[in-house]
Amino acid sequence: MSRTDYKNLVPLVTESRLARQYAAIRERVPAARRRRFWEGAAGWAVAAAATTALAVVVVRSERLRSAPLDDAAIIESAAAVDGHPGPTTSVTLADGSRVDLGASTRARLTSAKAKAIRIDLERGSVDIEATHLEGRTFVVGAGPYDVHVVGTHFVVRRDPGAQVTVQVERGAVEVSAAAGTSGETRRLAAGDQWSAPESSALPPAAALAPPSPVANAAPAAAVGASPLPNAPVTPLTQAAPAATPAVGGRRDESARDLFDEAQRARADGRPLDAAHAFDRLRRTFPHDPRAALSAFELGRLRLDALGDPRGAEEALRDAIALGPSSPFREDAEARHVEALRRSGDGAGCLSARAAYLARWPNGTYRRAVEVGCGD
Amino acid sequence: MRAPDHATRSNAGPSDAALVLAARAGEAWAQEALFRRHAPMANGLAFRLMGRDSDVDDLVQDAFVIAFGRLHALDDPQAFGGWLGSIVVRTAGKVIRRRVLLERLGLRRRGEPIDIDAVATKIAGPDVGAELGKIYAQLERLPAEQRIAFLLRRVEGMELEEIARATGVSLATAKRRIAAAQQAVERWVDRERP
Repeated sequence: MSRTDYKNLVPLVTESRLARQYAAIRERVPAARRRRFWEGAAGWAVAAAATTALAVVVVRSERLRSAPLDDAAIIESAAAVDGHPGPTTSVTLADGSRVDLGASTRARLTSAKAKAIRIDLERGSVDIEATHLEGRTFVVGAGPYDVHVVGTHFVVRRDPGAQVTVQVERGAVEVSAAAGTSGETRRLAAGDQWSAPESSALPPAAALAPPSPVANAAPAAAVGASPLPNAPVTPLTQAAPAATPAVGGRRDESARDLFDEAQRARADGRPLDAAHAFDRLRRTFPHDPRAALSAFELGRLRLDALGDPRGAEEALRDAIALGPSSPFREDAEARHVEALRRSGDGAGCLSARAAYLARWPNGTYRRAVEVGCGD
Repeated sequence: MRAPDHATRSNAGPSDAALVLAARAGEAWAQEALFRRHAPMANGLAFRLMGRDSDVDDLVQDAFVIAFGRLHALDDPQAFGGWLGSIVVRTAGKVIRRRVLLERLGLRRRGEPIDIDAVATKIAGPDVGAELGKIYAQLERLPAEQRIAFLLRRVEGMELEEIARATGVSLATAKRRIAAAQQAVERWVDRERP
């Protein structure tokens, strides 16, 4: 009996048998979005102090814990271990606003009063879903900047001494110089991202240049003066330059870190964060084996989750260039056709369609691609 | 362990890499697609390792449960098929060891019939089927590690390095196990000669 014959030694695998097997598997595999509470047991630490003001609920993973957090409470999250995050550390304020802490984050709940909430971010990132309450102020301090919440979902990241980043998913926020310093106020709307170096914005108040209109402000790095540098506001789905990694970008982060970060963000239902991580990976590490796949996944996210067909088109084009022999090239080319159509580039769509059909005459997506340009 | 050919064929739908990423992101359809794509391989491998149809379902289910639970640990998402195969192999070893323990404790009946000879009979004739059935019966007497190493080498046709990787041991250990199993089978064949 040859080895080829041995390979034919298979049990009878019927459709009903497969269905039975898969049903049993599904029963035993927890839903992917459901985290196991014992993961990352280092978890969180809360050191509450001072007077009782506003009750909050601390949520770790799916377990609910109640703990009184008062003014000056410190909230911390665990560091990532071997690239794997601990469970999400979440703080839900009594008004319903929710604060999710990224890995290795330390923040101070400076004020938890009903009419005035202030969180000062010492390091790491906070993802905030703020409820809208008339008359209440909600401020996130990030070193030399204050982010004033208008009622929104936004993320503030602080890399002490290096950079502060704000990205807004819904609603709006206003970024200003921290209290006690003067400067411009910039309003960020949904879809905006703003980053600025922190170190250049920390001169003594007396040395600050007089406030100037944002449009005319000199680059902060050049004058080291304006407490609110005229940092560009970037649409969230537009890629940040590789040389200045945006959201949470650290120069020592590895491709694997970014890939893991993107996976976590996707699993947590944060497509924007996932897109940013994939984007940083492909731009910062274009020769990494994960770069092409990251570009492909970025394209999918932009197309499916973020409603950005132009951005998707660029990412998918990059995926094809980065991985000309990748196993997902056909998928990328088919998606590229779709992205071009949805972005209104009729000529580009026809050209990409012709390229797909030439390369994959019997491809999986042939039928969809053939009618994919709407002609 | 080599990935099945279809796992990388570009016209076979979304790549394994894309499916793994989607499954990691919690998309149930991707998990099911991975199961559908690799279940035939897993069932075949489980059957050839265990020799009994009745062992296959539990082994396949255990392997997929482990795989889906550890997707985050898969460095190369495109290598899902080979990775799953390694999990089947290691899980088979555990199942066999557990079975031996149960038999020693009197909690499981010894010598349940082998099924693989019936399949072999259909493919290669009754004489080959009978011979294979006897060999599997003899292999049952071997330690799980030796038995699996032998089957991976002689039935699956894997290279030594692949066997070492799949079973999580050094190359030298893999060679030793195969050699020990080979000697046991040869001794049995010698005894059977008229």
